[in-house]
Amino acid sequence: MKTRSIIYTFLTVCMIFIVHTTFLKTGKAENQSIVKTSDLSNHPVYSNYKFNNSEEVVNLGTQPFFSPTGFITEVMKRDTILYNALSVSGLKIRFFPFLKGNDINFFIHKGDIDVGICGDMPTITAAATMDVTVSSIVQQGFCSVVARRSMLMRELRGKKIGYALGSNAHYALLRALASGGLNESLVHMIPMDVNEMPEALLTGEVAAFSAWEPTPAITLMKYPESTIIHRYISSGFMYFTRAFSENQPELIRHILAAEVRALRWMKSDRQNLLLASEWAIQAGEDLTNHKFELSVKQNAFLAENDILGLISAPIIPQNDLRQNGPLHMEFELLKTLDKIPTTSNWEKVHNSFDFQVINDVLANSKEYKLSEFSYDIE
Amino acid sequence: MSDKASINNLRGPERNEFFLGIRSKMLIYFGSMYVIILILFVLSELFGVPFTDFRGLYSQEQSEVFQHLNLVADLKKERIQHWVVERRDDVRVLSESSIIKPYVAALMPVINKNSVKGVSENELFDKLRKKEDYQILTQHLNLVKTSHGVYDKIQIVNAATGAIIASTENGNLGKNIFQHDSLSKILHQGYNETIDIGKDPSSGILKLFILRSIDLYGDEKVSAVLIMHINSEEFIKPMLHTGGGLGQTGEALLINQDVKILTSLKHPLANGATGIPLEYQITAKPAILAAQGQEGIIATEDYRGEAVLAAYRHIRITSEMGWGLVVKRDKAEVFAPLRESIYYRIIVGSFCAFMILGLTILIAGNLSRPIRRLSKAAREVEGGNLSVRTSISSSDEVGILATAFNSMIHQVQNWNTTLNKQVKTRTSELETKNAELERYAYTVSHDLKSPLITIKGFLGMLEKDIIKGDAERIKKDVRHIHNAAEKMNRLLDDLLELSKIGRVVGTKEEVSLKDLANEALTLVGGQIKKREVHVEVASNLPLMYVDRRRLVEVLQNLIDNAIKHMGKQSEPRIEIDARQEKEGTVYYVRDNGEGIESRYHENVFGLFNKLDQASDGTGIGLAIVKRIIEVHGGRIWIESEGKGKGSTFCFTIAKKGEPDKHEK
Repeated sequence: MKTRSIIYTFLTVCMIFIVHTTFLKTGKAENQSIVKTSDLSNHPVYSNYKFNNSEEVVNLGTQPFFSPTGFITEVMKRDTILYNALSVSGLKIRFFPFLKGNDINFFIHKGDIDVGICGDMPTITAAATMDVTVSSIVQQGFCSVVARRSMLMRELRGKKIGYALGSNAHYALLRALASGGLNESLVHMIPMDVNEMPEALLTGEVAAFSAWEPTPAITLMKYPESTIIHRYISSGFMYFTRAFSENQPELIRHILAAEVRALRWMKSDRQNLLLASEWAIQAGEDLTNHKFELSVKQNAFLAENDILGLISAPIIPQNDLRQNGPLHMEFELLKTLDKIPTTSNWEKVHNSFDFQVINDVLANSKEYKLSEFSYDIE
Repeated sequence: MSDKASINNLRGPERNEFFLGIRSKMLIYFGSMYVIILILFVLSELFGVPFTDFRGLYSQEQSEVFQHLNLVADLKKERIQHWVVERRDDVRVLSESSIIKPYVAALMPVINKNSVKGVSENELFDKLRKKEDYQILTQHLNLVKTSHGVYDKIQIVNAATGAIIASTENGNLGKNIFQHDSLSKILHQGYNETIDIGKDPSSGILKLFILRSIDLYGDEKVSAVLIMHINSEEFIKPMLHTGGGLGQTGEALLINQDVKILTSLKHPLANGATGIPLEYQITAKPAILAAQGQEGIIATEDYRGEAVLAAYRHIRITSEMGWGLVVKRDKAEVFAPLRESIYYRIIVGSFCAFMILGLTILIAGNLSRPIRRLSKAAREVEGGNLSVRTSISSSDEVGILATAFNSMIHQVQNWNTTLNKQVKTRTSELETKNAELERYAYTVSHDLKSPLITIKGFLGMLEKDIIKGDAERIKKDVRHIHNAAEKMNRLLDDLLELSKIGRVVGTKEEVSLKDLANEALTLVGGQIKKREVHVEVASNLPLMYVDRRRLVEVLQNLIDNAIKHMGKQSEPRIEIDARQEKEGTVYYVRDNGEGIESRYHENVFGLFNKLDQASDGTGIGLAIVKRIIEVHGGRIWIESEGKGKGSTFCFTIAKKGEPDKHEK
């Protein structure tokens, strides 16, 4: 009788354990809103920034480790044509590096940053919650979900997954989970800095993570057993505060011209791309105080495809903004997940995109010196 | 009961034993354990062990196939991207070539002038064909087409009118293609290059179009557009060819952003129809994911509804346009070797299971056979047959158990025999005792009644004599009453004494029979003297381990009895001695008195049995003697040759250490 009781108890415990691990091992959904970024005023890096909010100074937020966007902004930062064009109007431009697009949004909202270069998620968030004008596309690349071994997305059920809250990679992860029939409540979402992700994957702290380049490439290089199990194409955009774009329309054109020049300059010669890669790495290291783990060539190779993906000009693909198009779906998903207010209006987001201004720039290449290159390489 | 019925009775329990016995239990335990282990082994081998890194053959096979699909998908994606870049470079080089631009620039004024005049397009191009510039231009376009071998057609379109002004096919000249979406993008949306895929209006063939603006005058305005046509079935379809690397069912397919197929499919649709490029929209998940810009692997169903393993990729052709690439393989084919392996494993496993079950039956039969025999023997014992024995001779635990069982049954049988004997003896003794008791009760009541009757009779006489006042007779009556009471008292004393024997145990000691005899002779000295009996006590009599007082009582009674029954013997003589016989020392008291007939040899020891009713005494003396001897573990008997030949009362006494009656 006693033995039977022990066997029944053992079987019951086993059953409960199996049921728990198989069906109930679900993570706590991160219920943090992408919009609701915590107060970054006291951020260890950003608190040192001295923003000049006078009308003569344009503050541009960049992401050195958002490849290849970081390349473009680093080239723009050294564009003497841009500086000269602005100085004619008595203006100056300053570049401030940030770790994530939503951080840039925080400072745009605060009034410290006038121009942001971010991924599509922060861009839609900004367009839905603030008055901005999105004027050009900066990149088309992939955010990747990296796992310790090859697996199907559905195998991540109940596992810990690292992600950067409110980033393109966050959205890519949600799409990846959806492709495997999962959602946030069925996995453990662990918010973390992208720099911590490779180590977290190696130590088993997370079973997978979602990040943008170059983090996946660094991980694959350092830990050859790891593999990319899902990728989602994402875009990067340049957007301006509405007040800035209305008050300084010509200034916007010069900044967009600098972007076009940067793209053409990097595509014109591979050496230029390598130089831009070097600058982006340096900027990233200065921002994070961490040694970048890819070589200049490796970093350039990663960026090459995404830069070349833009045919000749950073024209925003209107197709992406169609009803049920990728950006509209991202917008709807953000609302469903309460990442942006449910009352947000797609028309407002759609109307924030200005397709004409970049055409104006491209149509006047001589005026905006699109084929002239002058960079302060020193 | 007939033999047949007996056999049926025997078979019934045996049949039950099969289902409830050790054999069936072993069969069930071992059989089910083997089946469970086999299933667990096969399942763990196939699907891995939970909570460990061992993922199983199924997962490994799937992982390998996914790796292969990933590799093929990446290679195909890279190849397509590279090929598109090459084509774009071709277009860019041609559009900016120093041959194209001057000739187009030279022809444009002629075209514009005639357009203003309202000359029809056919007339205009009849004129153009005659011009050398035009001929050189078309020759160059044909040269490019021929040398590359990729392009189906190359055209140059007037940006102002949308009319084809130069072409590798003369039949197209003058045709207006303003309605072309890609052309619109270049002319109106700021693009200097676009790529599109669609059906050629003139031929109906599915083609890839690459368009690029031509700035003839350096005024940043689009003067003309170069359009290069590529037959997608001829050049894109071969890039999707999977060969034998993906098996018979492997397929790579390309879809546009609307999830419509761009090339023909390898398999017919679920309804048997053929998917037409740019018309058939796939609803399968990997195609949708790829078209949406996602990349990964998935196990799902394809456009036919077949279960497939697929790798899907998104190929960004332009910032506006992306294609989806799906490389897939049917699960049925992928896992066919594994299924075959499982099939053979099941066959081998089943064979092994039958073998093991057979062996289990054999082993269980061998192991349980002696136990069943033992069980059968136990049942026979249960039925009362104690002569049954098992014939198990093994040296294992069952053998030991069988030996112990046989030994136990043997012991039980012995105990049973002894017990039966004892019961028989005890029953006989009890019957004797009962008879004795009955006789005793009768005798006691009779013998005690006798003095009471005497007393009662003399009391009546006493009453009469008192009335008469006859003092002499009163005295006589009283004496008779006194004597009767005295006799009754003696009877009761003797009975009390008899009852004490064996109930009240005295201390035993080693004494000489001679001492005991002398003590007894002292007690009956008066009677010896009166009858002038010559008593002879042997000098070398052995020691006895007895209750001294009781043995004196024995000898006293035997001497007294001998004196009483001396009869008319003129030379009465009593001899006390002992002799050695087989059973030990026999003590005896011999007289030369009246003797006892053999028929009375036993009776004389009965209670109140007196051979001479006239003799003095209660008739209890010899009964007391017999009782004392028996209590001392001995027996008493009479040896007499008959009337007038004297008697010898012989008795034995248990030696020291031998159990007496009490101890027994």
